[in-house]
Amino acid sequence: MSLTNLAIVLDFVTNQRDPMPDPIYAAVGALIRQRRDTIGMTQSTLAARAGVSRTSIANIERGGQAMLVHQLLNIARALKVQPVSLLPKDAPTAQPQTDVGISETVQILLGRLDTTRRRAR
Amino acid sequence: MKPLRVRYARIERVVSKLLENFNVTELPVPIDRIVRGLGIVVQSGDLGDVSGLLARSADKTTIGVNSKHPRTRQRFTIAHEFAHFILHDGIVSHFDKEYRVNFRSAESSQGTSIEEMEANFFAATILMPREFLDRDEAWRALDSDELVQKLAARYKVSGHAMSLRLANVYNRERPF
Repeated sequence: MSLTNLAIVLDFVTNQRDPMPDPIYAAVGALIRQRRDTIGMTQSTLAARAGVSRTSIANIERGGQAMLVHQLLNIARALKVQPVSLLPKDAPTAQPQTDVGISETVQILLGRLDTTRRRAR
Repeated sequence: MKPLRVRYARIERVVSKLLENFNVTELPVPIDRIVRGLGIVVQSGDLGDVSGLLARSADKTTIGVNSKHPRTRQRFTIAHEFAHFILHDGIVSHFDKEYRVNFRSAESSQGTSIEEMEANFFAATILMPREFLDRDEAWRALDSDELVQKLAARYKVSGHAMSLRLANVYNRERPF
């Protein structure tokens, strides 16, 4: 795959606004909120110290925003904890992955394909 | 992630970029060249009542198409499966028996149906790009079956696909 073509695909994929990020963010958000409540810090203070908007903190705590690594590090520093303590031990998953491989039906269909080069049309 | 509604505008942008990057200036749109250009293997075979399939593995993506179908339909099938590859990360392997073109079922709100609608819209958009239709003054064909057939031959699609696309583009409807 050429770089430009790959770029088109990647651009498309990364531009998708995920309506609900991976549940891992809800777990991280809950840990951030827990720590913030423990030390009695407001969302606004945390936002100011971590260099993000208060809305972002609210979204992050809700699990509605996929935060970036540097934001996680800044939040951890503002909360005076190791970043790792804001990460859940296990990655929660939204739903069991059923599409782990090529389905049996498709395997059978693949067997019916002519493997000689098909002429372009 | 499954789309919650058909992402028409985004699909149009992606198709435009693909056509631009593959320097598509002539008809019919070389769908095989585009698909293969992205490293996908296209093969055909007798698939019975299945029109097409997509199979992704770590090292290879295959699009299969039913060799018994007319070429025009095969082209639409390839474009449809290609759409799943581009738009639907979650689909590892998939086959299509029949497109639910111009057909909105009770499942419309479910993910699978939205994905099929997106794939059909993508296929129609890449095989019958808006700019080419405008240049061909294709709106004139809206009330002429003869002109629809001529356009269909030029774009190498079925007459059915062309008439749906024309209604889609020029009647501000979304049959695909």
